[in-house]
Amino acid sequence: MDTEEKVSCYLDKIKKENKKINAFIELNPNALEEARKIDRKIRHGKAGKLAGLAIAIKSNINVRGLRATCASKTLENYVSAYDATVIERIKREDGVIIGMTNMDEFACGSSGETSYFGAAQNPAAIGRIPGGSSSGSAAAVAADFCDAALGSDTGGSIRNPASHCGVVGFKPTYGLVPRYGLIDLAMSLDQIGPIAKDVYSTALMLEVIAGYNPRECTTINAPKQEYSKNLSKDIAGCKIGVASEFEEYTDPKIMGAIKKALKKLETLGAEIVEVQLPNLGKGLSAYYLTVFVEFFSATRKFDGRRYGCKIEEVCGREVLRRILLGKYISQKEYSGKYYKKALQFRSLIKQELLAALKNVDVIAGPTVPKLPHKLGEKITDPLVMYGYDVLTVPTNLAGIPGGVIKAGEVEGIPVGLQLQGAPLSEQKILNVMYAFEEEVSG
Amino acid sequence: MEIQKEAEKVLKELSEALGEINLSETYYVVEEINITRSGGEAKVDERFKEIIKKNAPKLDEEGSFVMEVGKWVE
Repeated sequence: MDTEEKVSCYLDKIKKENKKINAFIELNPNALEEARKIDRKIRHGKAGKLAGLAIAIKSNINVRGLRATCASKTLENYVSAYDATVIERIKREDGVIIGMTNMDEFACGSSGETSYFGAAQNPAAIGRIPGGSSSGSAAAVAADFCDAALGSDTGGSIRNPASHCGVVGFKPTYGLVPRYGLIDLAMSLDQIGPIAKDVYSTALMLEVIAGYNPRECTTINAPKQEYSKNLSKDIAGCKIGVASEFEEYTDPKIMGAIKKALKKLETLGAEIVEVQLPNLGKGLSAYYLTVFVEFFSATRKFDGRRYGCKIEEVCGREVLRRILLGKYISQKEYSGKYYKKALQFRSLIKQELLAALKNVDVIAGPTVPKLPHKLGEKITDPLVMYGYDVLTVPTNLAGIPGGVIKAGEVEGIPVGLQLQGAPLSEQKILNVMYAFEEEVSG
Repeated sequence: MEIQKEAEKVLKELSEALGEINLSETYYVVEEINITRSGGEAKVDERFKEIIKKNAPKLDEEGSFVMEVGKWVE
């Protein structure tokens, strides 16, 4: 099948099924034309690494000519005037952008339910949330609407929906992937990363989008890696750390599926080693207090003067709550009480994780402590909703990479195994994921 | 008002859960921040201007932005 036929098949499927899944906010009207151009390149042997792949993009990443709505009424009609660096790189390698995906409004949420365009469905567990905030990206991959997608991860927003939808998701080391063109949730924590059907596609997407951007202040000047070429399923002797603290927060049924996955890794020659993460739970407070302040700062540009609407006048409840909290904390007299304290605890979480990772290659555990709830089941206490992130936020606070792969199922619902590693250890994590995938698929 | 009350409760519970600590703060996890980055070569992208103008709420006859300063100041 050539690229045009493939993209055409995906578009047909989306047109038939997106009403139910609600993964896409907008489709790229030029996708077929772009696919035809790529087919010509393929015939001439000049196509890039992503040739033939249809890629969906989270609606907080700028793609020229398409709307970057952040799933908010604030930016409902905002058309991007430029490509984010990651989009330039995908286009350079001949990936076809198929459309913009649904998400929690301004990435404020872990369920996909705060979107102005309505919640996305979980294709792997119909009737339940797909997770968030990259809800549409994970749902689009799980529903077979595209080959791969981009999401953004501030406190688990790639890994959480990847876990709930049973797909592969990867949050890279902070600074490895340029953020230029990503609409901020919290600039010191945000990272763009891939979501795909398998580990190979995830590795391929990551190697295309990763790399230094001289125009940006927080990208790392690390050597370019070919993650897909260097994938290896040989994990004999690999030390995998497991923290007993994970069990304190996690549904025992989910832990059961994770333990089974760890057994599989052990049979492949990995060594399971216990690690200590005594302050794991404190990460949640440090994370949210930091996010409130950075999000408040990031939203000051949405004043409705040059584009869109004034955010406070049209946004949803969760976005408004975070703005109010950020405004309050940002007042000078409170900075030492909340924000400074949060940044001190961020140092503690980082030290703790890096110390644990000195003795092991990766840390493995659950991704989300609970199964995805049913759509429409209202969770009124915001602190309960924030609790969904307890196992994913430490990765962002420490700036380390984290990948998620389906470990198994509980009551027919996918459960993701989360693997975290030291900064720039993407290849190690991908290799463990690859070995697991190969073992499971037989 | 209801959201304000919820926000106060959230703030109280999150800060109480942290307790006290004496460590330096981590702002960014990257060790070297490229603050003195070069802007690269300047180039004019006409399509950029065209789209930005389409996004604008109001333009005058010359194509300049018209803004409500008073509303914004409030």
